[in-house]
Amino acid sequence: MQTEVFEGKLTTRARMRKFGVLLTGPGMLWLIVFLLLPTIFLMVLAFAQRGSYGSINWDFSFENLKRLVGFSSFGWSPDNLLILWRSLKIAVVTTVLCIAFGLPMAFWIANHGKSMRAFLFALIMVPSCTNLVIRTSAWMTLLGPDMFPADIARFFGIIGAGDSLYPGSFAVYIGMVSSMLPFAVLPLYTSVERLDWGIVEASRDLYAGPIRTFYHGILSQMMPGIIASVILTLVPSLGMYVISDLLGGGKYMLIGNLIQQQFGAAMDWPFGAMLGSVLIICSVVSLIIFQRVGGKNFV
Amino acid sequence: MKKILLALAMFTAACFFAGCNEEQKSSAHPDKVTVMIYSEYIDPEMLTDFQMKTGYKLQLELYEAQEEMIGKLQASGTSQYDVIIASDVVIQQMIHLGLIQPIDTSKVPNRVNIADQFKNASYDPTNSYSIPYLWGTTGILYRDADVDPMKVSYSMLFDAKQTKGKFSLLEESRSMLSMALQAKGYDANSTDQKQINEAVEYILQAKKDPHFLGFDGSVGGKDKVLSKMDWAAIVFNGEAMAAIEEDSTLQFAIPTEGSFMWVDAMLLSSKAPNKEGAYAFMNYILDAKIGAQLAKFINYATPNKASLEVIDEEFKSNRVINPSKEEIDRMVFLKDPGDAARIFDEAWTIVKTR
Repeated sequence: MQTEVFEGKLTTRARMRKFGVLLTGPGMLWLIVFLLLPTIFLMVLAFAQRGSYGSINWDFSFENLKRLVGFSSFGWSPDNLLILWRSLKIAVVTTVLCIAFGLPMAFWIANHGKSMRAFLFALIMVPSCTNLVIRTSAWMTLLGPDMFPADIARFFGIIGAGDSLYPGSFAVYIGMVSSMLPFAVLPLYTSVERLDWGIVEASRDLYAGPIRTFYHGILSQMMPGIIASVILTLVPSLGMYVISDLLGGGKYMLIGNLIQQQFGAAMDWPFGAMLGSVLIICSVVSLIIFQRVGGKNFV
Repeated sequence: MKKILLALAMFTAACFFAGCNEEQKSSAHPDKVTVMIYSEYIDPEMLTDFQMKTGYKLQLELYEAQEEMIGKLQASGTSQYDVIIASDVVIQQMIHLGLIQPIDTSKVPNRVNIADQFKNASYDPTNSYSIPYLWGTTGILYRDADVDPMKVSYSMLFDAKQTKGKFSLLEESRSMLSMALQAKGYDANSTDQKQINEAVEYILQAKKDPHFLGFDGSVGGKDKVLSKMDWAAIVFNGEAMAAIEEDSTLQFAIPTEGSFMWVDAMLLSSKAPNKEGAYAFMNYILDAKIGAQLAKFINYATPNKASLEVIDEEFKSNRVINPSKEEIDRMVFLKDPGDAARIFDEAWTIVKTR
């Protein structure tokens, strides 16, 4: 047995390994029981069938996958794919808006003194401590026909008399961005704090204009933060459907609605599991692409 | 490592045995009746009154949504509940999933009070699984003094020439599709693909109307009509009643093409620990006076014809809660579609995508 020195102590490789297993054991067990096993179950369930009264028939086939790409009782129709596309569009637009609003916010906060920064952070974080449905209902009241935002919009002729600012995609994006913004700002702020302003100075010394300075001196340094906030906003907004239901009037379905419908009213757990699995795979694949493309040297 | 595993194993075992103990405890108390029920769906006074009259303690287990209730029964077993109160549409499903058992009707003498329209109904053709608790209808709530509620047709919403203001449709796949089927002149319970397809096209046509505001639940639709965002919406009569009490200019109509009614029924859990108590509860609710008290408290219609005789005239003559004979005749109960559930689900996906 080979004895080695580790952290100033004499120990053997086997003993260290044992210690490592002991330390990671609980975490691994947690991941296996609450992440790995349910995911495997979901993916197996995705290939089962719905019984006549909402039970699960364990005869495996690709029926659910066929149904997902559009082979329905009404002939081929791309509705499910359309729903996926629409969800992706809303999630991407929300993410872009969150980063666009989040960047200046992060710089602004970082420019304040220590106590002021804590206060500003509290302002951003406190709303997300309240329930999502309550926050969304608050927007419904605020965007209603008798409130001042509707009055202002009416003054400028954007909406007609007696109309309100919701339901509609404008209201949906307000709700989405306001609920996702805190998650975008936090990682952005951390990377603003860690910025090496020496690089910015050097870039100015080399006569780079403001745009080039921002691109080479700031943006490239902030890439890890930006990628983290993209992940933190994109993935949750993909599955979000409460906001679009309440503020969008529920005219159109999102992937979240479709999954919820399978586990709820339709009682078709296998098809719901198939949709859920596809959503998981989509998120994981987009994360991998993101790491490869955007963050080669950062993440 | 071994020690941790052992500790974990012991912990799981302890939980398991604790669970067993608890189950034994609940079945060792036959003096208690456990009823699974929607929240706020019984007069709290009845808890003490029931105990006084029958000697059984009444324990309520509340739920908010149908799927939640079925999930609970499938997961934690039916041995924890005696009576389950659920809507007509899920009764057939619960029978097939083995969640409920036939009722020994001889133990519920008050069932002679049940009104005829709830006998041999499609949700329970043999009258052996269910006893009605309260019932209601679905119709159109609107703000328009010029429209006679007796002459309201679905075209008021579906025909763009007749819509006079913003409107919402019902965010409930089966119910909304069934209403569209009726609007087209078909049976609400039709599972014919062509007919369902026509119903889908009909809803999509209404969706294109610039007056269309969106799909909403019954409560959401009521709120939008009350706040004048909507001119009309499809709601359950309970919500319509609440809205009209707040604003008497609103009206509620059962469309001439027909609509569906729903009933919440008392069912016997398949492993009910206290069957006698369950029968006592069913019999108690079917009592004429208790049925009247329940209907007045919840503001829903009673399926108890003896209760209608003791209830006050004002409640009885309220057309929103107690529809006329003609209106009842054009309403049906919705049946569980069985294998056709997928057609309805796919139809709804189309409705909500295009």
